[in-house]
Amino acid sequence: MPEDSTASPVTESSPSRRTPESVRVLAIVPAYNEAGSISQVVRDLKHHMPNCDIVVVDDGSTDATSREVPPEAVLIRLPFNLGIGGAMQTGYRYAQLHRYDVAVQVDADGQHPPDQARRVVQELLDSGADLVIGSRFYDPDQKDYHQTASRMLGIRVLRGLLKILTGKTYTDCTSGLRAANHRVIKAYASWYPDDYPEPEVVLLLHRAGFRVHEIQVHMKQRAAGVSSISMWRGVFYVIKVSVSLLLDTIRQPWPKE
Amino acid sequence: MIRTIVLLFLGGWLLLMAIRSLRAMRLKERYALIFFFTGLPFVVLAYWPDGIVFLVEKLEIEKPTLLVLGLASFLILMLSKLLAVISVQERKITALTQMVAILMEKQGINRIPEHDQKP
Repeated sequence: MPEDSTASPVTESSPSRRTPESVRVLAIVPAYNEAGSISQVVRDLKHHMPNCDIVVVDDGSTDATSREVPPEAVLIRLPFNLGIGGAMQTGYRYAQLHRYDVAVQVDADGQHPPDQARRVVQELLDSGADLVIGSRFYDPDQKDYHQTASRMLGIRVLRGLLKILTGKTYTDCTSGLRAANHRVIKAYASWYPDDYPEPEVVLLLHRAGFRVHEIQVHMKQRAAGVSSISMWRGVFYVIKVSVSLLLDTIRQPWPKE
Repeated sequence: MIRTIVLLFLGGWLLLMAIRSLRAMRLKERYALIFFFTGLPFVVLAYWPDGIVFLVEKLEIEKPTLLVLGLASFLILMLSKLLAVISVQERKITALTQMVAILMEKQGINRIPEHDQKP
């Protein structure tokens, strides 16, 4: 149940209002074998957020991903595959080194529309939250993103577990479209989970006292697999994430400096 | 007699391994110590076979299975220490890899075609 009223986007602009154009924003696009879509994703982002710098982290792709990255984006090539956690953290290290105010994660497969990325950044600046997650299910009236019943069940299980562990409802903790302020960038650069970073950081940030918000976003429909293999994979995903989350409750979130 | 030879051989072998890997700089002292301390009891037992009975009585172990359990927990302890070492190293390797990749971008050698050749 969405319980925060600051989620509605402010439409009137005042001179003091911070926008994605007035602060330094870095878009982090981790890419593993995304040669077919990466070029379009970068160009779309540049079109919708002209002042935003883009860094593509090529996580040791075996295809032509790194050659397809347009010169508008900074290309960081990992010498071998580190996995999503390691690739994502590379982007946050870069953001921390270059002192960006905001970092926004965008998937390389084109699932996250760039105008929605811009909205997530705007919400971060307006709400004063430390992390804003673009949720597909924040607004229960939004019916444009359809999930298979089994996936929806998995999302509900994780939502319920997070509710028990944090006392707050995060409607879409697996969403990869999210914006972080400089405090979270610093935290991520020093430590980031390897296994299931998206749901795990929601819990860890909450425990460390960061403010995490959600807004409703529209995402492009991905070709949802309905084969039994992907269903079993989904079941194991939910089990593994649940165990990781439970283990995270005994872990020290971000050791104090 | 056979028991003495076997125990002496086992203990001597473990101690020799510790010394050899120490000399060849293949093993840090702290890990060589593990070999040293596991080899020593074998040598002691070779000369004093009743030592194990003495130990069992002193520790009030009544069933031999408990001895196996003790051995198993010792091995699991060593294994967990090993896994902890590997985990820390994995973290360090990840951090190094990330910094190298960021530096390569800064140096402008990230888009050179030669780097496309994967090993």
